Amino acid sequence: MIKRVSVWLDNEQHLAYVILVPALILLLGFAYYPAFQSFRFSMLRYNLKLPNRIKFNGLDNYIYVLKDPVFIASVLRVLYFMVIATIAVMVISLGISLVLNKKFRGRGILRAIVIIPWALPPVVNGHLWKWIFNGDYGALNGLLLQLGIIKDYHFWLNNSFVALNLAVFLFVWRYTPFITILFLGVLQSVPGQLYEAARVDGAGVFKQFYYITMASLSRIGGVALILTLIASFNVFDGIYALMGFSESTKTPMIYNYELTFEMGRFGRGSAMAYLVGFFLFLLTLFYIRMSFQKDKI
Amino acid sequence: MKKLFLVLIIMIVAISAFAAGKQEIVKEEPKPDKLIYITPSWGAPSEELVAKFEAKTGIKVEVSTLKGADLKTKVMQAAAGKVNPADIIFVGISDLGTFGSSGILKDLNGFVPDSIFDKVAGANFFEMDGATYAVPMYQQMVMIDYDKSALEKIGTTAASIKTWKDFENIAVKLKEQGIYEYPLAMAVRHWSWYLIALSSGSTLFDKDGNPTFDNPSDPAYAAYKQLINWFKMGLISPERLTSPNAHPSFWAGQGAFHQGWQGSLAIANNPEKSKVAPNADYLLLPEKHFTWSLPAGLGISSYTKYPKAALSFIEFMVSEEPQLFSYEGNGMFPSNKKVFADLGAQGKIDGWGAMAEQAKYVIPLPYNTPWFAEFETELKNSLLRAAKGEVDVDKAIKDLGDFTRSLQAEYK
Repeated sequence: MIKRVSVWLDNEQHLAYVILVPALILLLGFAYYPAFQSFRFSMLRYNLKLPNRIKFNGLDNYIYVLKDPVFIASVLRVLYFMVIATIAVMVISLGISLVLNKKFRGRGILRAIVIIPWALPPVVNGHLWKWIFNGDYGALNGLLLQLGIIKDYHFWLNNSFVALNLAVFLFVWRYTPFITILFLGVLQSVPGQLYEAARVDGAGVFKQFYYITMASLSRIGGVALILTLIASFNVFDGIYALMGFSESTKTPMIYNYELTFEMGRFGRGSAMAYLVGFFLFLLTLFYIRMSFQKDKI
Repeated sequence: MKKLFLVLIIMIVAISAFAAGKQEIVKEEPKPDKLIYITPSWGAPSEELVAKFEAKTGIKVEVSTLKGADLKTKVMQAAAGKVNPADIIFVGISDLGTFGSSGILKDLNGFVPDSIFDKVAGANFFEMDGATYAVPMYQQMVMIDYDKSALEKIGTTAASIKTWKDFENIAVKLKEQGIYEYPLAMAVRHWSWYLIALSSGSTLFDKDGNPTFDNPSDPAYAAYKQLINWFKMGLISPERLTSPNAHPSFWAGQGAFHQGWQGSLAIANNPEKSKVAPNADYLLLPEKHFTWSLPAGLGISSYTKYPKAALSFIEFMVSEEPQLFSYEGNGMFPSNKKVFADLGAQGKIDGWGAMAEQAKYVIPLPYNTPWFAEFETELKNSLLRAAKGEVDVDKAIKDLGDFTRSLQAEYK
């Protein structure tokens, strides 16, 4: 018997299946089963506080969510968030990676410093910035007052639009190091001879930047763009630590959490999760396609 | 025939054994390796107390301290999955309606002996649809405490505050004279509104639970406007919109009046914890004096395997030593009747007289309904929108009334 099993496992394909089994069981148990349950919930009238009134209601939850003004507002808010955050992350990361790609004294220390915001847990980041933005004793007010930029303390987070932009800032601050490291990895693999050859051919700084630097970064830039879009759409911990369930920074993720776990509306919450998941699926599809294209080259 | 007889005998023996086993499970609860108790920080006993419980019963207790919102999430997730979030669950009154209606808490009627319920005050707060879901751990009548020395500076005393207008006038004076930038250490939130509304004579809801607060002749209507007005007058720090916890600012000496609770003077007059000490005192709420209560209790999970062991821990938590620890450490007023009577008799409860007077004016809010938590969420948002000027105050109240009615209809 053991010999037969051993012979069967000699086939690489069979061995691969066997090795995959534990991972598959875990995936089924911890990802697909909850996802299936969630899908089932999304078709039910399921309010945790009315456990005796659970019943099938088809697509009603999806229709409700799509018409829910709070959800619509949260989608518009996150679209703004994604656009501003992604542009800022890409531009700032590019700038920092170009600087860090140069040789200068203290470059190693600077690289370590740049990674710190990424290394800090998002909740810690959120609380840290909440303290900095505090209107009564926050460091930002102290700094701006000493520099003579403001005359009175400001309550930065009270204005909804400012609060949303500060949440964007918080995301940019945390996510920029990750993209910077991605860019830096590519930049360091660009041979210096390319620039020398370009200079010999009479290319100026801008042409070198456009035709060599940007061309080198174009593929990883696409991946970075999609990753940033996904991350900015998914952002939760930092904003929650900074603003809680405040309406001014309520993204679909935060509203989904509030609807499901604060209000106990598992049916609507699950439907919203699937709608949000569908959008993320599209973004992920782009990401996978880009990754495959990269692999083909 | 013999075979049939044999099969019957085996079946009877098997059924008897199964029934006996079942009975044994009901009778004998296995001894737990450990119990898990989830609580916010202010409900946690000290390590010494936990060790004492273990020495006394041989049962280990793991105290898992969570933020209030995280505790709620954990319990809700467990309720949805029908699993045990912890053996013992801290039940703040604000979560009663949600936890109670979700089925995660065991009905303690008939399980907890009357001797325990008789020992503590306020078990009725945790009743919902005929069930009782928690043994009260502390009482928390909402009160106002204030800094006597601040009032002396402007030549007045608390006795002059008969109406909320008097209260406002003193706050304005304190601000104008530069004694405080923000004299009211209160947040623009639901609790501040309840405080003004109830003491002005509103009940917010009629006896059938229908909202009355959106009727312009109801005192709650004016109270809503008054609270927003105080914010706009600069009597409340704008920071309170995003950081609603006003307690630290009062204890840091940054406000004259503070929405405190029965027992909060234990902190406000503790020089190690408060700059206001020893000048903090309670203020009998103005006008009709009414207030409400925010007690907390200890519930047992419906899915625990060790309800009896959980009960023994709850019994321990409402005994003298943990109750004193909770009062002295966190200012949580004991639910144990003997403990608070003894503390009062020994003169150890600061403001005992004012507290006793205020206790005559406590009315219940519908925390024991499944819709109230969602009402409070919307109320908080409504007040913030009004304070930020994003919506007109009258419209905000009308919208809140409409929202409440439609919410209630959903739960009917």
